[in-house]
Amino acid sequence: MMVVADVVVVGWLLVAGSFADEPVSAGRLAAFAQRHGLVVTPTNGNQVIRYLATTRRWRVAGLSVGFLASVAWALPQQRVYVNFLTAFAGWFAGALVAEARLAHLERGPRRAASLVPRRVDSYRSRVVSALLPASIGVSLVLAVTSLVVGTSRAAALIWFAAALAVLCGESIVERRVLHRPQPLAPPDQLAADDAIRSRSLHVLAAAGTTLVLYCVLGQLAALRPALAGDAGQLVEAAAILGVFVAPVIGLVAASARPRIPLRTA
Amino acid sequence: MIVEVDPASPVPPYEQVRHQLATMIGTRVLPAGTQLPTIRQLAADLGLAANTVARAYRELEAEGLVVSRVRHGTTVAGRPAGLPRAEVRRRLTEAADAYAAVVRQLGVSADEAHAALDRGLSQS
Repeated sequence: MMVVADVVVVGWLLVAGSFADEPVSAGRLAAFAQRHGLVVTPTNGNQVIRYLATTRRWRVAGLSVGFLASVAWALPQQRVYVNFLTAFAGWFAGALVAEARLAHLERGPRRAASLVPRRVDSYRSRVVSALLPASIGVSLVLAVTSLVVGTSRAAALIWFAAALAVLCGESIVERRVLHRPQPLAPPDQLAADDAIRSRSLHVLAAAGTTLVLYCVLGQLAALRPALAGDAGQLVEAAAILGVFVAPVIGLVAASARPRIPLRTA
Repeated sequence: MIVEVDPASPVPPYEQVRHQLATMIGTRVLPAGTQLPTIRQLAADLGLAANTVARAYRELEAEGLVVSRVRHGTTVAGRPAGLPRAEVRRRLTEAADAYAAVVRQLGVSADEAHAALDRGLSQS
């Protein structure tokens, strides 16, 4: 068993390591530019490449930690097992760290700034922004239901606490993304900076929502034994369906049409 | 709409920010109701301490040029808020006297002067 685990871990580290260090391809840069309607120039091209490389490195690192933690957790039970939720939670943590560590535009000799306020709504649609709070709302309803029904209260509350932790982490990093300094720079660099913020905010909301929805699925699983008849079957069906729906919602939110703030001279 | 700070200037940074914003508000480059960036955003973008920008905003608020509300941020005031009605009348009279003096100096008719004033008001 240990040999299989060693092979899985070493194999994963080799694949993840080579993927994380791989240079950002021209296709990936072009896809980013197309999504955001960005005209790539020599200066802002490097800016976007740095963003793509940094986020990929940290997300892969987070995913690896989640993957290895999941394998290590299952080893005492004499099995090699990868928990998708743990791995994804690691990826999300890596994404948060990447956003927090991302370098801002360099200040030139002039200390100047635009007077246009940066708001989440300027970069991301309200529908995408509402997904995470709505998911937390569902989680809250299920936590209260579990308390009322009186079954698996501890499990339901732990899942709810995990969902709240995701919301807190997302909110803190979201504010950091918005308040990352944006000194006055040439228009192409400002456009790239706005595109990067928009992408970051979409990824954070989408990944956060998916993670919270998986917490909701955990709550549903905890609630299931207390429900009999149609209600139980309904919860079971929702839990099964949710496994597929949650990532789809995340993908749709992540690929939603980005917004770029209006700039006036 | 850009605000700029010269670190080498003898004028303190908060005064530079305050003066530029006051000028933009006075000349209606920043019209009434315009939302200003948060203190944290402007401070980060200019590489200043948050207290520096906060002081500039406080002074603008004391002058009645901006209004700060919790959760709504700072917006440009609708008109010289806080100025007593008598003060508004006094300033208006002063400006009218100055305009009348220019009209007399130029030797234009009252009708022309009224028309120029109407044009000026309609543009603002």
